[in-house]
This record gives sequence, C-alpha cells and structure tokens, in this order.
Amino acid sequence: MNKLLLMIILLIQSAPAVAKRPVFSLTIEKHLFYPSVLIIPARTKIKLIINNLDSTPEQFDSFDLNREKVIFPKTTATIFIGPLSKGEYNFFGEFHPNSALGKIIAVEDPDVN
Amino acid sequence: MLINSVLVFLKNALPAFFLISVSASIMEPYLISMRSKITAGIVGVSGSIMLSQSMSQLSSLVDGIGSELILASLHFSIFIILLLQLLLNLNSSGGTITKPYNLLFIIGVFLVITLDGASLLIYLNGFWSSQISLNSIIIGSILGLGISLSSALLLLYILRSKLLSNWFKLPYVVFVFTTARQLSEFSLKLIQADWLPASEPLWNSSNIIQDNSELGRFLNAIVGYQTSPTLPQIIFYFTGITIPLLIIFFTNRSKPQVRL
Repeated sequence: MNKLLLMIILLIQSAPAVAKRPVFSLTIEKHLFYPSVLIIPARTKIKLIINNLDSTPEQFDSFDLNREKVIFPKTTATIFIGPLSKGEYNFFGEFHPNSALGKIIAVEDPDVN
Repeated sequence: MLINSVLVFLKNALPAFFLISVSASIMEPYLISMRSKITAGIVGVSGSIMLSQSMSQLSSLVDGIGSELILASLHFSIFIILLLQLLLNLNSSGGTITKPYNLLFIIGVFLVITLDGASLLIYLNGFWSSQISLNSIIIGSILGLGISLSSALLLLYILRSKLLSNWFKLPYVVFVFTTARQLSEFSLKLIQADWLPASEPLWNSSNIIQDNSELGRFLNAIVGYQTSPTLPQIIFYFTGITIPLLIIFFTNRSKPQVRL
C-alpha cells in the first residue's frame, strides 16, 4: 500500500515537466518509417513528432507502447511516449502493416539525445 | 490489404458493437422504440462522418494533441452515459420512464458510433481517394463489419440468456467492466497527450495473452484488456469499476425491491 502511494506521489510530481521533454522525429514516406529504428533514453517521457509525407493517412500503432494515432496526409502529429524501461518496442503503420514497420530502442545511456 | 481491412474493422467496430450489446443487455428491450433505434443510427453515422472530415484540422489543435483530447472526451462522455443508463435501469419499474431511456440510448449510440466510426471512415476515405486496392478494402470491410456485428449479436444473446442473467448476473458484471474500459481509454488518451503523468508499465502479460491475438482483441473490446498497463490506467480502471458498483450497491440498499 505504501509503495503504491509512493508511486502515485512520484507520478504527480512528474507531471509539470512538460516543457523539458526530449523531442524525437519520424517521417513516413512511401509507407515506410524513417528512421525505422529510433533510440531514446530509458525512463524518460519523450515527445515524438511524426511527419506524414504520403498522400494517404497512416495510423501510428504500437501494442508494446500502448499508443495509436492517425497521421493525416502531408501533416505532422505529436505523440508522447514513455517513460520506458530499457528494451525494444515495435511499432507499425496500421494502414500499411507490411511495409510501415519500426522499433524504438530505449537505452540507459543519456547521450542518445 | 484484405486481411488488414478485416483487422482494422475488427479493432474499431468490435468495441462499438460490443458496447451497444452490453448496454442493451441490461435494458428492457421493449422500452427502446424502433424510432429511437433508427434515429440513433442516423445521428451516429452523421457524427462519425463529421468527425472524420474535421479530424485532420482538430488534430493539429492544442499543440498537436487535439485528437487525443476529442477522443478522451468522447470516452468520458460514454462513461457518464453508461452510468446514467445504469441508474435509470436500476430505478425503472414497469416501463414508466421510456422517454429518458430512449434519449440516453440515442446519445449513447451517437457517441459510440461517432468515436469508432470516424476511425473507420478515415481509413476508408484514405484508400478511396487514392484508388489503391479498392476491391480488397471493400470486401475486407464488409467481412470485418459482418464478423463484428454477428459477434455482438451472439454476445447479446448469451448475456440475455435466462441462466446467465438470473443466476450469475452476467450482464451487470460485463456492464461494469465495459464501463471501466471507457475510463481506462480516457486515461490512456490523456497520457498520450501528456495531460496525465505516465509510469512504466506495471506488468507485461503478453506471454499469456497478446494484445494482437484474437482473444486479446476480444478481451480488449469487452473489458479493456491490455498487456502492459501503467499505474494511472489501473487507477482509472478501478475507479471505473468502483463507481458503477457503488451505484448498484446504494440503489439496492435504498430500494430493496429493485430487481438486479
């Protein structure tokens, strides 16, 4: 019970740090993600900006990350991800799941920014 | 593209149809008029067309998190409608409150179809305008819609069966979890928009049931199953379970004659 309360307090304390989120970018072109592998810091919430250069919408989707968002043609979308434990997290474009594939690798090294 | 269209439809249409089935399972069927059913369908489809057409602009609002805020507010509104429906249902006796019953049904169906229908229309519209793999997408969509609809009807039939509804109160049990799912999805959208703090996932049950398996999709659609939930999601999920349970408890205590 005490551990749960401590986690809730830590969560609330972590809320105001919005402006300090590290920013990462992805581009969708010809139904492919560029880069297809994105390295981010572990245990840090990041801001991911996705730019869809295609003429069709794409849905960024990830079961590992619990995220999904439609990115409309020729527009940019923002998704906040994490904090993640060290490891690999797959994502894909739900509308083109055979080609639009990628992964996020969360690492402990703080120099990945 | 055919299989993908089926999967996209299952992901979006299945939760919507299941929600309508679960909601209908605790309602008295004769209280919902045919006019209300048709009205609900029409306003729902209209809502999903309007949302799908405007989502591109809405998405860029509030520093790029407009779509999360809209989807979160839709989930929260559905949660409130389900609670009101529960309250009304527990207090109903002999079909004396048909007007609010029908109104809540129309609003509920409108919100559900708007929420999930818009995603499907965005998918269909994207391929329709580019004329890519149209045949596969149309066949896949019809298959996905058919599977979702028949699964939802089967669920409704099971929930309304005498044995399960009388002995195990299964419709109410499922209703409580389905209601909680809305609050969990609400929290997930706010976490994605960075309006709620996030934590690392508390556990990962993907080695038992994966999110993208048939069972995982079914459980997600009906009770909001996720393999790796975070603490805020769990808090919201259990809040979503507690509130309808308290409503049932206090309604039964204050009105002992109320049928559950």
